[in-house]
Amino acid sequence: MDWYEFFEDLWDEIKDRGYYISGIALIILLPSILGAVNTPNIPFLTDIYAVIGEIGLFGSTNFFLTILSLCAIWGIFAASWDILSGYTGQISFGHAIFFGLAAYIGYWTSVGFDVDPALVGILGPRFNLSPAIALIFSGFICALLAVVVGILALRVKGPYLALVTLVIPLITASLFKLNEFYPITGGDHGFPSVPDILTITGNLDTDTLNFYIFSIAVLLVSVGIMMLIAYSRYGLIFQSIREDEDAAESLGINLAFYKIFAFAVSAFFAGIAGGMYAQYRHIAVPSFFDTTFSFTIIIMCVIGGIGSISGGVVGAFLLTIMIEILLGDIFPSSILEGVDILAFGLLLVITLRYMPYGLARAKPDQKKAVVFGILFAVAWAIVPYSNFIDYLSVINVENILMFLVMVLITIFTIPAIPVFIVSEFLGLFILEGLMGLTLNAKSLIKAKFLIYCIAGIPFAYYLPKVFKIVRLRFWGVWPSVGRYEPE
Amino acid sequence: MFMTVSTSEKQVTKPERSVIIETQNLSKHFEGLKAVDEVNFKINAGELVGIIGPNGAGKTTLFNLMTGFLKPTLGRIILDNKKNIAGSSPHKIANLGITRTFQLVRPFKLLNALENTTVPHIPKSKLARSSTLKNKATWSLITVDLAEKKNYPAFILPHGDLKRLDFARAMAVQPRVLLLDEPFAGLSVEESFRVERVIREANEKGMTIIIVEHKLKILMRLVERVLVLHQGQLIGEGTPKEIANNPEVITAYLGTEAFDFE
Repeated sequence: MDWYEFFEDLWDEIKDRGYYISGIALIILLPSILGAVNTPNIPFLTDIYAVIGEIGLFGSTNFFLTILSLCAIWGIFAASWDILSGYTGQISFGHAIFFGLAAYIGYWTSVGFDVDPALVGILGPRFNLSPAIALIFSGFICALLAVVVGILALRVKGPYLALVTLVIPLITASLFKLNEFYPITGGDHGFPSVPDILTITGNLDTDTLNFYIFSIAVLLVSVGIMMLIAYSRYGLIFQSIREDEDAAESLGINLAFYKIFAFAVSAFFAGIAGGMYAQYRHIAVPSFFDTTFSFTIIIMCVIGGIGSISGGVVGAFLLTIMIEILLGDIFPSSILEGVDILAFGLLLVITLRYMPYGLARAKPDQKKAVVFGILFAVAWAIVPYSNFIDYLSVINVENILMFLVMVLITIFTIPAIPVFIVSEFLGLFILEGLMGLTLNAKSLIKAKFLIYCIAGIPFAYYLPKVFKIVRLRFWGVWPSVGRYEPE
Repeated sequence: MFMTVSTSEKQVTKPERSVIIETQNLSKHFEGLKAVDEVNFKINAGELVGIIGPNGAGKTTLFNLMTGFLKPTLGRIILDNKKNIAGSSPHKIANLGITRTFQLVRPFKLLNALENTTVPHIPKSKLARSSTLKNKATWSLITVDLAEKKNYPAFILPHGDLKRLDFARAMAVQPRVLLLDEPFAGLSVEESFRVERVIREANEKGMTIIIVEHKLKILMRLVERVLVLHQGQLIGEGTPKEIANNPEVITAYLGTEAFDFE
């Protein structure tokens, strides 16, 4: 064995996990890139964002960080659904039961309540947990509840299980709304002030950044744990149960135990997500039990990729950013409710048609198309607003690098210019002419970015293929490659 | 020069075999339809037994009863002359050493061949290192000549490979009794030879194997003893030759015309 083989293997391993590594790095470095307070300055990337920030493609730093915290929460929730339904095949249409319940339990335990006189000896006069412990506590309570639900759910399979789970959160929500339980549940309006996990400094910048760091940390840890479970031998058993219950049981696998185990793990992390969402919104209300919550994560998982824990996270980031940042600014709030459902539906249909296993398990060329399509769109949305020559007014390494990157992007996407121009005219005609929207400067650039994405992703997918055909037709084999590629 | 007289293996008389599985009045009624009706038989350890019978004779129902997928209406299934396993759940029965394959192949479609054979190893060795598990699973694949296809997902494997994969998966449980439900159905002649060889090898290592099969030509040359089911009842029992000449069996199963298996 040669000494460099080790590095070759290492590089292969890194290359295989390129998307994970770059995604995690981006998530961790993002506050610095956005130039949030008290963060180190990353030379090149911060400069790029400064340009984007001026244009307002992603809104202000605080707003963007808040949205990303929300993404992280949705990511945990979606991944928790995936481990139950994507891996174990126990389709749950009512995962919001754990979400909503954890929000309430988090409130009850962190605000505290007077203990029943009979139990004072054990618990003390007043039961009270700090918000962080309340979060984990509510996760465990949800896991306990899931064991009960799991035992009931063992009796039903497939679509019947889906129906049962669909009904459970609705029943719970209507119980919580009853007047009889008003002192416990707060009735229709729920509870207005859920204690936050962080001590509030009163400084909006710091608080946003801290909550972002907290939620990203929880996301990385909990998704890491779920991935460990999913890729372990228990994950293999989960998958075998999904593929064929009878065959799995005939091989000596205890179905009941593993199904309940999957329910408990899933509910634990759904509970954590619910508790965090309650802290994020500072409320705990019966609408947390809504089917909207249950179905949103299912759509996220389908778009990101069912049966791969990372898929749910990818879907959560993609959809939340799309809804909150792009559509939220392009469309007025009166029609946003309809538009986001339309966008969800369209994305769902396209995903199911062209990549049935979702983004995380799509073919490499499709993945590359999505990444490069979005990069092209960002670049082309920025280019008209940036002055190339300005970068060379101060000559240093960063500015020259940035200039070169922009030149490269321009060269690579020269064939896209007619595509983008046509799509821009068409898209803006639909938005402004047909739908009658009035776009201000900031929403105009977001609309353009969206249109470029829609045109750019298919473009990035077909460009290499067309290029290959043209190359083989007019040039033959690429001289320097030296190997013949059929087709 | 002294010639040491070595007894060839064929001359060694097999030791007295103990009864490994015994059914007593085993019955299963589906609302009046007697799928299995008071079946009594004994299977000895290390035996290779075939079960034949026309369609709807209750062969698969019998397997379902023996592996716990159905609960018998009446009767008992006794393992090792002491434990009644009738009505326990399938995974418990599997852990006691009775495993089955299915009539239609039922692989875990999205898992690859190696993962398919890893799954049955897990409940037995929960604390084993993952490399050990992998080695065991690879060995299971080697025994059925599938090692070179270990990274193929099961849904792209051809039917013959899937049959052997099913067999490898069931073998990986290390059962004492293996119930094979139509292992030769839908296989070409060459593929059946491979499956046959695998079954023979497993039996030579001491595993008790019960086969339900419609391809009599293969079955009759493979098994030591044949049980004949007809309309849920056991109508004949004996060596393949006896069964072939049993008039009752011939009328019930093979038709009125006599049939020569040679």
